[in-house]
Amino acid sequence: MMMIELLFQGLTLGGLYGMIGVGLALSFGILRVVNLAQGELITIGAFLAVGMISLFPALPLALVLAGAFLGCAALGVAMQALAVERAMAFRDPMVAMLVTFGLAVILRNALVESVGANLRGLDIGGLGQARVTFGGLSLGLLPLLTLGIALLSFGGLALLIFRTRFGRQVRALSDRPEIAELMGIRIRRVHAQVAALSAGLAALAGVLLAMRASVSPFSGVAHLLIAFEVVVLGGIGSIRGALGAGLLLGMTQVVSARFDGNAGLLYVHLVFFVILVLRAISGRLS
Amino acid sequence: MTISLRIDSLSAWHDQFQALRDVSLALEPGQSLALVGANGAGKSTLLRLLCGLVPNWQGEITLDGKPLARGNPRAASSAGLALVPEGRLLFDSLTVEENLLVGQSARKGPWDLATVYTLFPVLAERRLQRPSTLSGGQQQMLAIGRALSANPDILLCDEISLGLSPLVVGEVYAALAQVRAQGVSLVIVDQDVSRACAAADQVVCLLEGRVSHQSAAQGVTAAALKAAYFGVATEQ
Amino acid sequence: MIRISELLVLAAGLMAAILGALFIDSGLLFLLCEVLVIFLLAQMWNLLAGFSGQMSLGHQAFVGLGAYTLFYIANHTAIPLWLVLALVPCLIGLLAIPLGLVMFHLKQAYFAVGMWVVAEILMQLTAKAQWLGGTSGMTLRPGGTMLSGEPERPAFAIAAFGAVALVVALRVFLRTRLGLATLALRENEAAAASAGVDVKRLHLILFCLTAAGTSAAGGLYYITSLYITPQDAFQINWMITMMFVTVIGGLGTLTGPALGTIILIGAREAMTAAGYSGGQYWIVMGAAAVIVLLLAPRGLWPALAPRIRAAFTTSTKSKA
Repeated sequence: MMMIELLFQGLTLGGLYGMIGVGLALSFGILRVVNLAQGELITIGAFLAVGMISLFPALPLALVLAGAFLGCAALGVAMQALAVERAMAFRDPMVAMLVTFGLAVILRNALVESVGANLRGLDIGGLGQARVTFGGLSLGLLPLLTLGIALLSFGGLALLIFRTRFGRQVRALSDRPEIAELMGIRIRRVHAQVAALSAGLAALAGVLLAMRASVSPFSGVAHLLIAFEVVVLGGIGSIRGALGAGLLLGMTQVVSARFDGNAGLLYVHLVFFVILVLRAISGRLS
Repeated sequence: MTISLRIDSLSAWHDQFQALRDVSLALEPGQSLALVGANGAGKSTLLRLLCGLVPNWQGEITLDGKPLARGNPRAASSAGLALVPEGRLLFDSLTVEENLLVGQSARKGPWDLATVYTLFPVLAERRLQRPSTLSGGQQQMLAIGRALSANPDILLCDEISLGLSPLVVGEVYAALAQVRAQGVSLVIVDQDVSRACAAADQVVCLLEGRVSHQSAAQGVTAAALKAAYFGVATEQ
Repeated sequence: MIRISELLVLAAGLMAAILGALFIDSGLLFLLCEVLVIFLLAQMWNLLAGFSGQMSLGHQAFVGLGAYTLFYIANHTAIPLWLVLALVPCLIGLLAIPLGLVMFHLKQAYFAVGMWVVAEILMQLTAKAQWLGGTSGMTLRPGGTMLSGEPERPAFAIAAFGAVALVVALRVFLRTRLGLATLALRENEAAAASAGVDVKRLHLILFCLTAAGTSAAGGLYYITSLYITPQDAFQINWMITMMFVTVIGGLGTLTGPALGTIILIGAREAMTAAGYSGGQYWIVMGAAAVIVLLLAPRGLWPALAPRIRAAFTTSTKSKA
């Protein structure tokens, strides 16, 4: 029974970690820029939800998610259009990454200035304690909901990328930007759309995080590192890989927390680092 | 739907290197052109320039009298130019059919999935495969199909037979003849001079960025172009 | 080889360091120590990112490692504090060898963020290590007794002389064979490799050198503050400061980090005096870094230096 409970917790946290990573996987895969402000976008998504609920306590969760998604998507487009796109024109790819590092510092401190440095959680009423029973198995409703939303988001993203005209353009652009432009694809517009989608996914992850535990304006760094680890382990631009890597890291966190309660993300980082070293030694890193 | 192409005193640069020097040529509506010359003579530069991929040039280029925008691939595409690039450069994250779909533009014309599949039935059989699983000839057909999907007036084919077996080259040229019969102008760059000339009305040879020979294409062979091609006197 | 003018600069730096340590007011010395430490840290990051092209986002790891190593050895042995400070960079430099060998399998962005993960791991391991004081940290007690006197005075002397010596050493280094190879590396890694430069070895040497230098500067800083916690020593703000100073001042130049340090600390003191909060200061600095990156991606000094030189030569000409 305890094993099943543990497995379930790992599964839900893993889905959440996958959500944290998939936005970064998308933007890194298409734009070829590691967006170091991704952690801040996740945190801002969480705080947008906190703000909406405190203004309108009866707002349905779907609307909260939609609001956070749109808010962060707008922010993502603005960042891409005003700064990152320009930085991508330089020959050195690190310039764009440094720009996103600067943007991350701006966003983090702007968040501290506007909401204070305190921890906040999302008030979800009785949902936090509610449980449902499946054939004698009692599972928390909230983790189930989290897992459901995560899987829906993954499915929706996969449909968008593999089944629509927009997705075709995105993949073409990622393969060969120059030829894609010959095909009439508007590169800057697709970049902005990808930035919006990536930031919107970050916001969804943020809302799910805030339902489960408190977030502070300084949580961004931890979120960014998880996202990065998910992307590296799962493969750049791979949606399925992001889910798999999220599950591995989520399981690691849940199991390690059982043995060592106050280690933060230490074991997650360690597992990542060990895999990295093993890959480095076996030469499976390019 | 056919248009004319006029190039006057065109020079182009890659960084410091001057790739084209004072090139002039004209293509009447529906006419086709064989563009030949040694490696590095500037053929690819000219094709890529017409598609908006080379921004640094001087001179005048008009399509049906309208000047071509500089360094703007989208404008070149909507003006009726499409490129079959050297090395095919297909989108490997897309299926065969998706490659064709992504090539489609707002331009109206005879080319859609059905007509491209009629031209290259093998692509229809493999419509859900990735381009990397196709043979070289099939990849070349897909590259042509992708370019045709935009319904261009002028199809620019770079190194069309590079790396293909003679049999496959024959099939590719047979397909190009059908394309030409539809009224599309072809600009063909190929190492195989006689073959390219047989498929064109006019031949232009480039040597170190300049036009070294220009004539009707009929019956022109590699031997006849030797001097223009290599820049050495053929007379002993 | 070292030039006479550079020896003179060294001597002048030594004099200034000693005189400053003796006569400057203690409060100002703390500020100057911090300025010098930030300059040293930024110069180290610049050597790695600007010259070697290896951009690390985890160099705060070496600040923390250096400071903790210093505190631990000083507190548990009879070795004099200032000798420990000389020992720390040697130890951390050696420790960086295996780390570098692993991390260099990662390229560009992967290397940058991978180093950041390493810094996080070290922070959390330190927080769990009870023999290092856990989350509540450690107080500096060399040989078991409280540090007497004013540590900021020798610390300033060391930092000031260290800063001058570092710039002179880097100038001399960039003239050596290895230094020329480094410059070649900055311009074009592939070309440097084909010209016979052992790129991997050079990367590793620079990585270890910057790890050593960063740990020494970190140790020096925490000597003046006497107290250390994992959250403070391994904080990302060290990294942000190193990066902003270098990026704003000038990546891949020796003068850039000096200019950047002056701008960052000057803005901080001015904004604090005017009543702005720390958050507002960082927003302004973040915006400054982004704007400089977009307008002059190699920083202010490389963008301004030719104009300053031109203005200087025309003004001397008009005088003559």
